[in-house]
Amino acid sequence: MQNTSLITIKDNQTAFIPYLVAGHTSNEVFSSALRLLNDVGADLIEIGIPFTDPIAEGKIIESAHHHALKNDFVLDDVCQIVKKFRTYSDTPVIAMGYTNSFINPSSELIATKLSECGVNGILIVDLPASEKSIINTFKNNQLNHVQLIAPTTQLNLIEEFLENDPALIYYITQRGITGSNNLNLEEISEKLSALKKLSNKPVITGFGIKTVEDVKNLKTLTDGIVIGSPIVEKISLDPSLTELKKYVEPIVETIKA
Amino acid sequence: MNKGYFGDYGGLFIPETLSHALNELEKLYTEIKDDKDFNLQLTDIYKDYVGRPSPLYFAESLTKHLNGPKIWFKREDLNHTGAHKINNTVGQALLAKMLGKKRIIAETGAGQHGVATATICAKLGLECIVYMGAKDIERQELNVFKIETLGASIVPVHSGTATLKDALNEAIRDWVTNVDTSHYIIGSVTGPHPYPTIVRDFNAISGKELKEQSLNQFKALPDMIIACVGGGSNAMGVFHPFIEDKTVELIGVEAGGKDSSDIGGASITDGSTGVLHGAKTKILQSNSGNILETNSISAGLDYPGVGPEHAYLADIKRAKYVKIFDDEALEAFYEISRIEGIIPALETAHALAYLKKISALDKSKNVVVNMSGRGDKDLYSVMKNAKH
Repeated sequence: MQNTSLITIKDNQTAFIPYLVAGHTSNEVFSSALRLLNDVGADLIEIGIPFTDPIAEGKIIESAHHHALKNDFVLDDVCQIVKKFRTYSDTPVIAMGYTNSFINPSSELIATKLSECGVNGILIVDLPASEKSIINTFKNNQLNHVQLIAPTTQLNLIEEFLENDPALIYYITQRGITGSNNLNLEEISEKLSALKKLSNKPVITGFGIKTVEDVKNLKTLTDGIVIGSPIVEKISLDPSLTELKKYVEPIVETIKA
Repeated sequence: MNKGYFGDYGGLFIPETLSHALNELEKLYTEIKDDKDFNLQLTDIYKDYVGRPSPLYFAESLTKHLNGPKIWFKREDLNHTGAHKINNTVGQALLAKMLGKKRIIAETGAGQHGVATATICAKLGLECIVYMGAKDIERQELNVFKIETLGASIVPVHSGTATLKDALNEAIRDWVTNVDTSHYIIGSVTGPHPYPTIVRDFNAISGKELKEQSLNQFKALPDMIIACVGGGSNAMGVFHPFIEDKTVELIGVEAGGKDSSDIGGASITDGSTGVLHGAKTKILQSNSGNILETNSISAGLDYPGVGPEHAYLADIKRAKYVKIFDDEALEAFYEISRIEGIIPALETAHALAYLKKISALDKSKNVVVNMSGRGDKDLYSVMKNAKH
C-alpha cells in the first residue's frame, strides 16, 4: 500500500474520479454537483477550468466550458466554492484545464489562489513535462502534478516525465478527445501493465469511459477511473441533478464492488 | 532552453497524444531539409507547378501616385492558387508522403490555405479534410467551392467564434484522433514546434528570391519590406532571409479591425503573452487568459494569435509591427486595383495601406510589399458590402 496525497492505492480497490466543469451550469449547480459526487463516493474530483479553446475536449465538455464562460465564470468563484467544500469534505480535488488559464495573469498567482482554497493538484492538458518552471511553481505551492500519458507516448521517455515527480499518472485510453467511443481493452491493458512496471505511481485511466460495462472491464487494470463527458452531459440536461445521481450510483457501485 | 523556442516564445503546448507525431516530424524534417533529392523534388514543383520564381515588379504608377519611395511588389499573388500559401503546402505534403501518411488535415480562414492544401493533395493523391469556420464559409464562398472542386472535404465549424481559431481547434481534435494515419498541414508559422520553423522555411523561398531579384533589378537590398501578418507566414517567409541584413527595415502589418476601439487581429500590437494552439506567443486575451473574439474585414487576419518568431522579432526590435484598420485596407484594395491593375487580397491590402504612412521616405529608397495573395476570393464579400 502506498500513500500519495491524491489517491491511495489499495489492493482490489479502484478509485472513482468524476470530472465536472466549474461554473456549469451555474455556480450553484456546480457546487451542488461537487457535493453530490463526493457523497456518492468520489475518491478524487477533477474540476475543469473553463477555457475558450479546449482542444482536447469533445462537444459535450467544450459546450460546458463555453456555457460557464458565457455565465461570466471567474476563477475566484471556484476558489470560493472549493473553500466551502473543504469545510464539508476532505476528498482531494484537482484543477484540470489548459495552460493559458494557469499562467494568466501569472502562474504564481494562480498557484497561490488554488492552493489557498484547498485544491490539491493540477492537470494541465497541453503542458509538456519539459515546461519545468511552470510545473515547479505549482508544486512549490503544494499542488501535486499529474502526468498524462497517451497510447502514442513512447514509454522509453517516461524517465523524463518521472523527473517531475507526479503524484499520479493519468493514462489516456485512446487517440482522441474526451467523450469518444474507441476503447481498445487489449491496448489499454498492455499499456497499463507496462506503466505499472515502469513506476510505482498510481495510474488512473480516463477518456471515453461511460458505462457500467466499461467500468467492469477496466476496474482491475487501473488504480482509478475518470468519468467526464457523461457526468457533464447529465448536469447539462438536468441541473436538478436527479439524472446525475441516477447515472453515477450504479457506476460507483460497480467500481467499489 | 526548452525545445522550439524563439527567445521567450514557441514551445510545444499540446496534448500528450500528439507529442510522438511532432517528434517524428521534427526528426524527419531535420534529416531531409538539406537533402539534395528532397530539395530537387521541391524545386521542380515550385518551378513547373507553382510557377516560381514569382516576379519582383516595379509598381511605377503607384510610385508616381504616392510621390515617395520606389514601390516594388513581390508577386506571390501570381503563384498557382493565387497566394503564398502553396509554398508551404507542397513542402509539407511531400513530408507527409515520406512519413507514410495518406490523410491530410488542414484548417483555413480565408480559404487560401484550404485551396493550396486541396490542390497539392489532388496532385499527390492524398485524402484532404479542411476545417473551416462557419462564418468564414459564408464570406469565402468561392474558395469553399474551389476546395470541393479539388476533391477535398470541408468540415464547417460552428463552435466558439466560428472562425479560423475554432477551425484550428477542430483540426487539432481530428489530428489527436487520427494521429497514426494523418498529417496536419498547419497553414501558418503558428502551432507547436516544429511547425513554426517548417512553415517559415518553406515560405522563405519568397525572401530568398527577393534577395537575388533586388540585387539584379535595383542593385541593392530593399530598404524596407512590408508584409501583412495574421499568423504571419508570408511575412516570416519574406523577412527571414533578411534578418541578418540590418539595413533592411522589416514591417509587419496587423489587422486593426473597424477602429481603435475594436478588437482586430493585432496580436503583437494589442496582445500579451499567452499560450494558444500549441505555442507561447502574443495573443489577444482577457485577464483570465480566455481568448478574445477578433474582428477583421479580412478572414485571413482574423486570428487572435501570431507566430512565435514574430513575437520574438518584435521583442528584439528587429521587425516593427503596426496596425491598419478595415477602412484603410479597403481603400488600398480599390486604389491598387485602379492604379496598378492588380486586385490584391484584403489581407495584402493591409500591407499596401501602410504605404501611405511612409510617403515621406526618400525617393531613392526601395520599398518592397509582399503581395501575399490576389483578391479574387474577396470580390464577392467586398461587392456585398460595397456602398456604391
